[in-house]
Amino acid sequence: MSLKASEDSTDGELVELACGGDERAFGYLVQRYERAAYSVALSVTGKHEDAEDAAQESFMVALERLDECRNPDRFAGWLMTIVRNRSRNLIRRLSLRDTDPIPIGATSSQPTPDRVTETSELRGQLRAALDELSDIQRQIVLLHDLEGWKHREIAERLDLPSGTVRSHLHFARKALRKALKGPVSADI
Amino acid sequence: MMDDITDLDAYRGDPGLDPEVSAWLRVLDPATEEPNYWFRFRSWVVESAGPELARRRLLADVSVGDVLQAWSRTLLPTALAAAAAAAFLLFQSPATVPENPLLVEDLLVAELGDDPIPAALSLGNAVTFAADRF
Repeated sequence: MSLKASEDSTDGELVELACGGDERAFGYLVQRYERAAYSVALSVTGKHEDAEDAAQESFMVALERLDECRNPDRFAGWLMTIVRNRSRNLIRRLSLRDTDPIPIGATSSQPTPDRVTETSELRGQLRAALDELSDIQRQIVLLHDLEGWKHREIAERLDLPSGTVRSHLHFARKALRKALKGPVSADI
Repeated sequence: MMDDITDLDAYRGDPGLDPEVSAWLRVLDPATEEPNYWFRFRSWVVESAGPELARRRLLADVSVGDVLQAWSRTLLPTALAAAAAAAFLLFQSPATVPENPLLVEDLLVAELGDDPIPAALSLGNAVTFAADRF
């Protein structure tokens, strides 16, 4: 019986089909992990445009190297490693080009006075708060509280002990609350 | 104190989703400003992956059997032709095969006659020898 890609297919099945050039299977993989890839990229680059580029590039690289994914059922973790590396490379390239490194939230920390919406203000504060977190704390809090990954999934996919993920998540949330609670809680 | 207890509980158990932090982080989702964002993102990726997917389909279509079949298609006729040529040479008329095949030594002295080479090349005879031979 030949395998067919569907939303219910496991990662392993989709990877196997995508290896054979199944566009539908690859599309499902992208759909399943596009947000997580973007979140991880954003946690490294700190900028929407760069995160978008890094995430998209990562999917292309993942497809080209799909045969190297030794455990297709752990595709997510493998993909996130690619995303992190691509994002860091992107930052390095940009740093070399612009001479100044781009800190997280660099674009939003100085909103134009003419057009400051509540959302962009919150976004700016949020990015500044995220900037205070470590790289891994940003990844964990974004994957957990934005993408809805369970802490066990994060632990497995980022190859971290479960307790480490819990503690990072806890301290990341605490830091975000401390930074954001006052000025924005009324707007939410 | 209450905060400490809550923190400790959160540290020990499964953290679950934090609705407040989740609501804050949602503004980072590009789809909040552009509802079509993820569809556009995916379309770009899948479209860009087209050539690589096509290459993979092509590779997948060419199975091991196909490779062997294509290989045998060239190999078998060549092998048959070679076998036929060998058989022809082997079983051709025995009259054409010399009874006493020449050895290398025989070939070297075949046309020199009975005179030994040093005698033929000796002084006085050299010019005559050359004129006779060439």
